[in-house]
Amino acid sequence: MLIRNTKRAWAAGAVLGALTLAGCAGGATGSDVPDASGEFDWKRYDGESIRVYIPDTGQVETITSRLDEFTELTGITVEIESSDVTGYRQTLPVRLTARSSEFDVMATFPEVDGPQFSKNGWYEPLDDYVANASLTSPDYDFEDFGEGVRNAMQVNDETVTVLWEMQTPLMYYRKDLLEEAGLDVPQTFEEWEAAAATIHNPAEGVYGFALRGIAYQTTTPFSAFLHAYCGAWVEDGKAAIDTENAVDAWETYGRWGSQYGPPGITGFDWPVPAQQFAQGNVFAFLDINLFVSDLEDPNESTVAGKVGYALVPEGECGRAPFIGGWGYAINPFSAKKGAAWTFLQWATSAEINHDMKLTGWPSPRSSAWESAEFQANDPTPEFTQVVLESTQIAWARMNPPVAPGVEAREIAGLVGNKSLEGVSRDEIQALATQQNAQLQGLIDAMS
Amino acid sequence: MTPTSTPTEVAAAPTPRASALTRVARLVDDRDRFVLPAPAVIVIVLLLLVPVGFTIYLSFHEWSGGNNSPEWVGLDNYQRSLTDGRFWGSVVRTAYFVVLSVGLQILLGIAAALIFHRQFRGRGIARAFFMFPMIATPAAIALVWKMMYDPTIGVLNYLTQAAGGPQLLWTSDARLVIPALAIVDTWQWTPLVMLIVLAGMSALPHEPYEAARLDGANELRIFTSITLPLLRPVIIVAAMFRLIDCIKTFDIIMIITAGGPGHSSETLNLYAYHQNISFLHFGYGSALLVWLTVLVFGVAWALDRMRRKAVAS
Repeated sequence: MLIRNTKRAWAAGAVLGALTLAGCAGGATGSDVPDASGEFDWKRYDGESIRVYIPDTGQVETITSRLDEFTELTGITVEIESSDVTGYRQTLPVRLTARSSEFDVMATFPEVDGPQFSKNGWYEPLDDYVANASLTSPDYDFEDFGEGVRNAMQVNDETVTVLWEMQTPLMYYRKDLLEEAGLDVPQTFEEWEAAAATIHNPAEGVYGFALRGIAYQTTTPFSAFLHAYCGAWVEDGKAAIDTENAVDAWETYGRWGSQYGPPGITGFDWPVPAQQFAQGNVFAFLDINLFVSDLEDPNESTVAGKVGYALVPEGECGRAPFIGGWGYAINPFSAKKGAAWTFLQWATSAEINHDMKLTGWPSPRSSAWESAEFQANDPTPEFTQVVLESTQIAWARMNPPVAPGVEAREIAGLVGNKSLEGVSRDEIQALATQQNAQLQGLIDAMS
Repeated sequence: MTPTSTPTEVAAAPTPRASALTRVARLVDDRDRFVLPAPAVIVIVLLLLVPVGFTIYLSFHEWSGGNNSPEWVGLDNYQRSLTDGRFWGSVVRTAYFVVLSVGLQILLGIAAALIFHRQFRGRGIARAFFMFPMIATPAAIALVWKMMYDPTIGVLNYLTQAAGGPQLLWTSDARLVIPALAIVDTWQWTPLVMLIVLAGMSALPHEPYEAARLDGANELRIFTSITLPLLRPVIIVAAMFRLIDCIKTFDIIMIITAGGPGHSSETLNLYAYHQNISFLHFGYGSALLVWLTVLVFGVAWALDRMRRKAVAS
């Protein structure tokens, strides 16, 4: 590397110097489990204060309202900084690039962030924390998280996060509209489409389906289509979103949305299908399991009590739900990892999970679902059944396993976004081929 | 007797050596146009030099944050951008958005200036209301317009349908999205153009108008032959302000469409943002930002030349 221009050399040198200084300002990297010995003590980090920086997927209010309990238990004061998911995804990498030690607990979604974060050294492996009897409460019971959930918390066979939710896709539908039409609960993609076609009535303001439309968001619900049609994101190390099966899946996704969807569907962000459904505009939508409490709340939804829940549709390769979710993680650059782990344990403890489950939250711990109290008071046993079954049969990948996750999502998702415009199969195929080449480019860059 | 020393002798006598302080003061005084702004200039240059310098530095590297340090790739990023369809697409979309927005703003701004140049009752209040869009927070404006453009619950579709028109998809329609965004930008910044042109109009000389009226020219003729040519430098300045700002527009586009549907409203600024922040390709993203800067400078330079020619004529 020849720097001929000395002025440029000085500039580069000054900049490099600044960068090095900034790098040194941050904390140390790599897993350095704090030294701790003796019995577990909640008050081990008494007097410390930590900062939690997480996105809000619906859990922040509950945690914030119970922070006093945590401070009383441990003597640690907590400040929570939360933002929406999109903003979080844009800001967290910037802070981690700057090796910021300003926050101690962060969040991650391994299906999406995994490859990128792990490559960048942005994860603090947690297995050693969990196994350390001095740092982890004897009541923590890590096995209470089912196997599928524990897999979803791992990247490269290392646990990097503890989930605060459990995401799996399912079909939400209007029981009353189905009954009116005199139909049974559909099982396959064809049956669902036939039912929607019958019920679709824009003149009365009822649309057949609602689906996510924004490019990088479509991959989540689309994964259920793709894998059920025997497609895959990546096959044998090669990008595979332009195969015949994949295009079949894209075509169906596009048809559901363009023919039976509300206007403007190409701009639907992740909460919008549920919102449209809650307003009574839509017969059915396929999305993750986070919406049940809002949909069944008569103050928030016009369809409370009329909602039916079903497993994702069956295709040639069966039903293909995934299991994933956001979880708490420790900022690898934090200087207070011990206190951070204490918070993490508390926030993902059996008690908190149990209490949140009673509000309809998809807690990732099995004990929360199996508790007598929950089962006696479950307002939506049908939903519970579907979610549990879904997590048991889950095998699909929510996201292309390619770094950077967001870019891979956008590359693949663009085909979904385009298909919602109702374009021909040839156009979908052409775009899929083009996007597949781009995805392959990312895969090649990863190795 | 000999008189007192002659003036020449007095002049020849050596002056006392000026103190160091006096010399410095004289130096500052001689070069005051450099010295006095110096502190501010130094601060601004440093504030610009580090980020801009770092961006240019990164544009020759590949870097995704994290533990890996930037990797030198020379001109690879620039070469890649030249064959990147999404890059050229974003440049074309930027040009479309900018020409449409600024064109509308200039036309409407001049029209508004003509109206507000006249005296009428309530002119002060009317002008204050007219300026509101410019003062409002861009993010708030964007959110409100986003709701107004919603195909199902937005008020704009309510109005078009009430008037017997069709239900438009506005910002969800790939063909309508850029005009829709241009409307938002125009709504927000036409007042600025109006202000600049209005200021220019109040500085216009009266004599040509009197002469024209004496010669019997009608209002339209006066406007096209006197007002417009005299206002040309001012209009070009207004256009320059708006063009430079418009090329860089980010907030309203990001909030209303985030570049969608698909990429149909993704301008160069947004594409660079996605590459940098969403995908963490800091090297390629920085190269895109350098192109954006080149574009802005190019436009500014071209307009400045136009302005000087207009002033000279």
